[in-house]
Amino acid sequence: MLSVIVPLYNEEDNVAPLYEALCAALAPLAVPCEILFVDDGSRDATLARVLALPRRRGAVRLRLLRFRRNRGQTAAMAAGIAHARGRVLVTMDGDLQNDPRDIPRLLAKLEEGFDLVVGWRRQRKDHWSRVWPSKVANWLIGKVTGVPIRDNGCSLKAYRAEFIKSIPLYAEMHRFIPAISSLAAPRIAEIAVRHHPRRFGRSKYGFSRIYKVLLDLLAIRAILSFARRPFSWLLGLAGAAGLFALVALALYLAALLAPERAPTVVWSGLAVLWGALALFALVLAFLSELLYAGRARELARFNRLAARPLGSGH
Amino acid sequence: MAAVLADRPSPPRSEPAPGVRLAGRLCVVVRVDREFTDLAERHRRLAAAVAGLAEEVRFLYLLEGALPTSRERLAELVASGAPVEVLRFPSALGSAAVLTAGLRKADGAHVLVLPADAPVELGELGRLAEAIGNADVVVARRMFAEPPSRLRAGKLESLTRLLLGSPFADLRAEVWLLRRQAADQLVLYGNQHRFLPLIAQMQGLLVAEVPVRGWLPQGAGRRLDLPLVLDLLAVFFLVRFLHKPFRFFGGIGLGVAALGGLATLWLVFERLVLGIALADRPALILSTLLVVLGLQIIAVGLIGELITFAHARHLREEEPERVID
Repeated sequence: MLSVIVPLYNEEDNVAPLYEALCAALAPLAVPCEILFVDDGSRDATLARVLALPRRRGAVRLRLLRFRRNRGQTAAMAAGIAHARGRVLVTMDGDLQNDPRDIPRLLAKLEEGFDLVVGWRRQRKDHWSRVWPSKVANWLIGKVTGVPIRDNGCSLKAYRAEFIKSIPLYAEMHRFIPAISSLAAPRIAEIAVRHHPRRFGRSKYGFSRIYKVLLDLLAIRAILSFARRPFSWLLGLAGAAGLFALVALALYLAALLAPERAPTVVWSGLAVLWGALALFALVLAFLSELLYAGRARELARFNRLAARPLGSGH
Repeated sequence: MAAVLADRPSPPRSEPAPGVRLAGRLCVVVRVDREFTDLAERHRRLAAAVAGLAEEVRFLYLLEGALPTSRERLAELVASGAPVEVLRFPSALGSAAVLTAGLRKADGAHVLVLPADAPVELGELGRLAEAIGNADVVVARRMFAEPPSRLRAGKLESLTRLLLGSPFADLRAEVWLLRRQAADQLVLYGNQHRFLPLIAQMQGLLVAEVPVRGWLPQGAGRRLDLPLVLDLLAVFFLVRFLHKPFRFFGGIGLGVAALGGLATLWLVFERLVLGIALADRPALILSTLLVVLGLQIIAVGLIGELITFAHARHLREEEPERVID
């Protein structure tokens, strides 16, 4: 079975055309499909419009989950993923900017043995004020996480259910699915997909997203390092601080031993400060080891997912 | 020794609101955190007020601490055959933990929670029952005959509105009506009971606030005490940053480290360009202290993020309703 998960927030005008487009795209697949709409606490008539849709059309079945308050796109997507019944899951936006006709191509790529196929909006139809920050963010995400995806923000993705259901999705992590899923060393493919200008409704993104993405990026980097090497992820900070402490200590000794009397208080103070930071980072490294040990069984699932039989390709 | 309060004058009206009858059993949870010599009389007034609100009404008294007088009065009530159950807790447990235990024990389809000296007209409790049709939790908002000054009441609510965007106008009445599912879902600790409406809303429950006639207890609300402000800060952190702690720590840490970095750069500029000596001034230590402090806060934030990641599957999230399945 195939599940198509679509979070909806105030998309009353998009619901019916999206449903029609999805049915038209899924019907030729000749596999049982479910369209799983997740109404994320919409305040307009989105819910009523979904309820007015036919519950079944051929092999395509409609399901609807609903949050009574707006919980955000990640929570809606995570709920859809958790409730989906398909062996293959597709996620997409509900604003008609993604094109359901790309779904068969995503599935074909997945069939080649990939765990995750990511859409790439090669010709984005958004305002430059959204496109350029997004390009910079994608470049940064690739550099920082080591997962060079060109379009992390594209919601149109296809996953193996077993794989995506094992990835923890919380806060606003949907943008970082490829990065966070790298914990399980997935086989990721990226294909160009269509993108349309928004026809109805308003975009829910603003400039505050840039600051949040930057902080989230640092957090993701820490998570990836921690999950691979729980003790040593902070040792970089400890090492750098220790190095500064040694330099300050050397300057202190040089001032102390100089033939003419030179001030030493500042250098000794700096040595103590940087040394204290090195010690603090070391203590935190022990703390993270403790944290990992407490959740080792759960965190080890990424390693299980990463294991592949010999000759499985990609 | 706990203080024994003098009897309050009876409220002017205590008959139940007409026309509202909740389906199933209503469990009335009464929190007793100090001595009341007139607890039996209070119970009778309360019982009369809620008698018509549900098909069946039972009472659960939660005693926080030794409270021998109140215990004795309640024992008499139980002996008289009244539908009353009493649970005793050590005061060290904290009011929120006691309330959580009480919510688990309460076995009605609806649970009404109020303190033994509830500062609302009991006859207006029916208004809460009227509003529960569209909500999971209904909160009493006191309307005063003579509105108190802003200095006397409303400070907590103003702060929560400012920090958390809270829509609630009265957090101190502490009179709540909950559906069974909401009572099962809520887990409170510390002094979080003061912020139950906010925490319920954070957990995805629909919370409605309903005006009822009430009063301000003598001596209450004169000042914001330190523990209350600390509790508010804790709730602020939980509501805003439970799932993304690094946005809190990272924002502060990057700010502090950037400040220290800029100050250090200025000192280096002074030394290299203006030739001002660096080694005999504390300025470099202070700027470095800021950098180190910023990095420490960032590191602590990353640990917070790791904790969230490691427990991501167990963090309480709202379960969506299956409308079409």
